[in-house]
Amino acid sequence: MLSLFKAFLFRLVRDLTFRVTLIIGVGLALLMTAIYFILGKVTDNSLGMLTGENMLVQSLSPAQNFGIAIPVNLISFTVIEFSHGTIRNKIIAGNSKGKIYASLFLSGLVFSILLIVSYALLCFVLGTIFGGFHPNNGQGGTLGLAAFDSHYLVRMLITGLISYVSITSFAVFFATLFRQIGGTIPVVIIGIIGCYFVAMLPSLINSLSNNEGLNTFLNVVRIVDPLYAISAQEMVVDTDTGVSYLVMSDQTFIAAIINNLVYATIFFLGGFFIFRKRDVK
Amino acid sequence: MYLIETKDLTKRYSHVNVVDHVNMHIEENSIYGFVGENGSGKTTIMRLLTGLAEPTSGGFTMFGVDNKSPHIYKYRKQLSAIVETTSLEPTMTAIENMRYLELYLGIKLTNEERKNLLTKVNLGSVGNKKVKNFSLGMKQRLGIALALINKPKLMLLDEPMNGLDPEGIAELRDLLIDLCQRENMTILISSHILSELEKIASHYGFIHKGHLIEEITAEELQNKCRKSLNVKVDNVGNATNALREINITDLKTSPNGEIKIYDDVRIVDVIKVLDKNKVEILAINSNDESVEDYYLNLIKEVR
Repeated sequence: MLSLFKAFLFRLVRDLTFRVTLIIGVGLALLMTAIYFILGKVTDNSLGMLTGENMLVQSLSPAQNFGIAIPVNLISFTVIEFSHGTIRNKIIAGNSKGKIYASLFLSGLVFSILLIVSYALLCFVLGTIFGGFHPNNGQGGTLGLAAFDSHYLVRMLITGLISYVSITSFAVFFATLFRQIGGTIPVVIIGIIGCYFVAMLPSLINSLSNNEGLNTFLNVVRIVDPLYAISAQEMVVDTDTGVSYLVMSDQTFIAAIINNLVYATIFFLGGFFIFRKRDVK
Repeated sequence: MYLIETKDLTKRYSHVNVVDHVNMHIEENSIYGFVGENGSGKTTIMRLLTGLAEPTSGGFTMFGVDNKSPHIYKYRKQLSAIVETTSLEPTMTAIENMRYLELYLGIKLTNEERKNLLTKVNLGSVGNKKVKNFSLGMKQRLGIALALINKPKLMLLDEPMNGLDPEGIAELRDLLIDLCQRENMTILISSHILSELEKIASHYGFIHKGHLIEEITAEELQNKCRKSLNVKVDNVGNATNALREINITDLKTSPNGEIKIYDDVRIVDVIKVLDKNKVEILAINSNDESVEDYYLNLIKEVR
């Protein structure tokens, strides 16, 4: 198993897809910085988006720009094993299909985490250079973002990163099921965007309707959403200062982690058993 | 001892048995030539033996270990195979492809050993060239070098001569004979170039529409395909005596009145001597079968 994992890593660092995704990440980080910089100039910095902390949290969202690029390229990285036929060599070499699937998942996880961490760090550095880390001293602008505290920031980082575990599991599952890029990418993109939409639905509906029953229902739906982690936040207003804060309660934080781990396990085990049973061409 | 023995090995795809109750026996240290038309099931059998596909029913033993045993993975490490096409990573160089394979085989070769292997297949000068720039023949050669990395005891080669030039085919032939003789390797090889197979195989398996129709040693096949003049006569005893008059001694008679003459003799002399001794000739023909003819006749009989 370890030797298989090492082999996948050997390929990863030489893989064109990985390098291209890294370049895309650098390009997107620069683009995001430029957009926030221009928005800041236009709105007299009232949105307060170009900050190190905001860029860091934004960069981890799985359904936005680079968050979508990662599973797309991960699918390509995984499917190449089938199109080049190198997966066959691994079976012929006396490795069980179960071990091969587990190593594919682990290397996919390294692929995703390495890329998202690199991207998040770059966004954080660019945001801090051009807008400072926490320039409004925790106070959002009138139209802008709610303030973050370090507690919230750490929890967002953890849940953001953990959502890539379930996304990797999801992408590797479909990549090994379909074994071709064309069919897999649309399914995974639609899946991720769909889950993102469901996760964000309660906050959207809440701003439009005060129907308590509907909100309760949507909140339940949201909890079973694989991307629950990204919307697992609530806004509270400090009545003394009037400043709104984003918080993530202990309960929400734990639920977000469990939710992601459950989905990651379901897709991992599903893929593992299907891959073991199916022939490899 | 058989290195591979299949027992009613069957593989079904879409209600069709592409491999149908095959009982195959591959002896240790032999070169087993696998002969069959396209779609006859040769590749499927190799895929079953390598673990790429699972049998629908039946099974096999490899190195004496049952295919359902969890120990089979350990024994498969002594196997190497090229099935259908050579599977390579095109963005890596030849050396990197070797290192990649070494990693999941759990072995480590020195640079010298890698170069030696590449030299063995005439790729010594292109070790640092990316595989995507290789010709089909070069990829095939690299595939063979990769198949030798783990010093396997058993090698399964599916059409390894495809894409090779005549020189490459001759080199591969010599290499396989050498591996079998010097390193006691057992080789299962399928090829459409039967004349080439004829030069290396010690055993043959003929497969047709998923059925193994015959297993035969090269010696037995040689006897069956031996150049002969076949004469059918009314009296075998008289005919044999008559043929001795013209010094024909290497012959075989059968109860149905057929005599196979293996000596190099002119047909006209045979006719003359038999006529002189009042032996009636019922039929006469010459036989000079190759493996190909033998196989074609065999499948004609099955049809």
